[in-house]
Amino acid sequence: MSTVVADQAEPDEASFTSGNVFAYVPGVLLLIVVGLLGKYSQIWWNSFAHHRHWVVPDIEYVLWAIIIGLLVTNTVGLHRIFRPGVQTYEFWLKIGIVALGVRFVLGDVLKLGGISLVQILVDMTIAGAIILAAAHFFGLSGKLGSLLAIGTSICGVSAIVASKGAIRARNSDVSYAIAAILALGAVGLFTLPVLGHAIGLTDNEFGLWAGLSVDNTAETTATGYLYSEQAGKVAVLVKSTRNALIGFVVLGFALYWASRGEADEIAPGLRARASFVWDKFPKFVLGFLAVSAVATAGWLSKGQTINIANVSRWAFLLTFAGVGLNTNIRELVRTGWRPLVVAVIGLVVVAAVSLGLVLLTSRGLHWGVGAH
Amino acid sequence: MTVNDQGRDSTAASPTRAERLGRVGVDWWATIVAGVIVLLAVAGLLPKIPW
Repeated sequence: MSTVVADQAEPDEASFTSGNVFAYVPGVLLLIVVGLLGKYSQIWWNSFAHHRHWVVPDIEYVLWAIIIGLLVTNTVGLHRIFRPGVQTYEFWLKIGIVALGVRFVLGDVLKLGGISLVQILVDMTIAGAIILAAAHFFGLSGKLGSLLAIGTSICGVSAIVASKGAIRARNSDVSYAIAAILALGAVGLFTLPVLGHAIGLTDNEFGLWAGLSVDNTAETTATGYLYSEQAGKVAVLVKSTRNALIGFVVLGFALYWASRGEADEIAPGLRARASFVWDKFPKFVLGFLAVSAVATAGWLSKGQTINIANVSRWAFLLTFAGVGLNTNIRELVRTGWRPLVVAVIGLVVVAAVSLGLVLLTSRGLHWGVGAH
Repeated sequence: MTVNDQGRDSTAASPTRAERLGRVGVDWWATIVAGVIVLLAVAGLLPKIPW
């Protein structure tokens, strides 16, 4: 595996890149500083404008944290001493998601998860087919097309990394697909909230839309929270449901490529396939469900529930700082124009299909999370 | 090279404690840490966390 691919391709697996605990300290401190700067920038900005009687848009701390992180990485650069700690942002994201379970009643999780599952399956089928066709049209290799379809229909980089070995994809294809997904996420992060406000989506509708269409979980969470806290909550729930499907989709593509003799055979039998799916399953989803069950059982006082919800907010704050600090615009541009073009096509296709589904189910059929 | 990669490379020898911990995976670590926080909350030991 080349260093470039390893660095870009494995943010989940590479959240802990050093065996030395102290190596993480500078980067985690930087995440905290950037996160706090983001949080207080919102307060300072509003206070500054209020004192001068200016009417200005309320810029959310989410956006401040991401922009400050982006500025640091793309101007002075990120010194290598900070890298191990900064790359832990996915770890904080997962802690935030597990803790967020306290804000959901288990029955609602199962209901909303079940409803969004139907939408996800429809979205995945339509968007995946269009992206496979677009990849074929652009003359990309079949496996790169598969990676892009997996990445855009399921959960971005994690899904691509999970499928890399299973479909025996080339490292160059993996790098390409990841560059496209990262570009897609960055574009979506800044455009979807603006479009959502322009269209007049409710918080639940926007959360569902972000959860269905933004590929990387960290960027999905940021996009949702940029709109509102409620939209963020729904986006995380929908995205977690999408994440839970990783194993099934990767298994499907692995079986397809194995049948063509271009990937390793999956051991026959239900047990082996169940083991394959379990191996790819994002385990933090179980933590989220467990915390939701604890909250539903009434084992927590109101004060403790608020405390855990605040743990989730702080963990997400570090994640948002990490999203900015880990986005190197020069590196994305350096990968060439094709991933960016595919990313834009992917974004438009997935966002359009997802938006159509959200509006159809919430305003046409009056069901789904958008209906509340 | 990740901790996991290092762990895989040295599976033949007895793994060190750091390698064994590295193999647990980020998903499980996040669940464990958040689980401890929730357990502290259930036991009434979690201090007030402001936002």
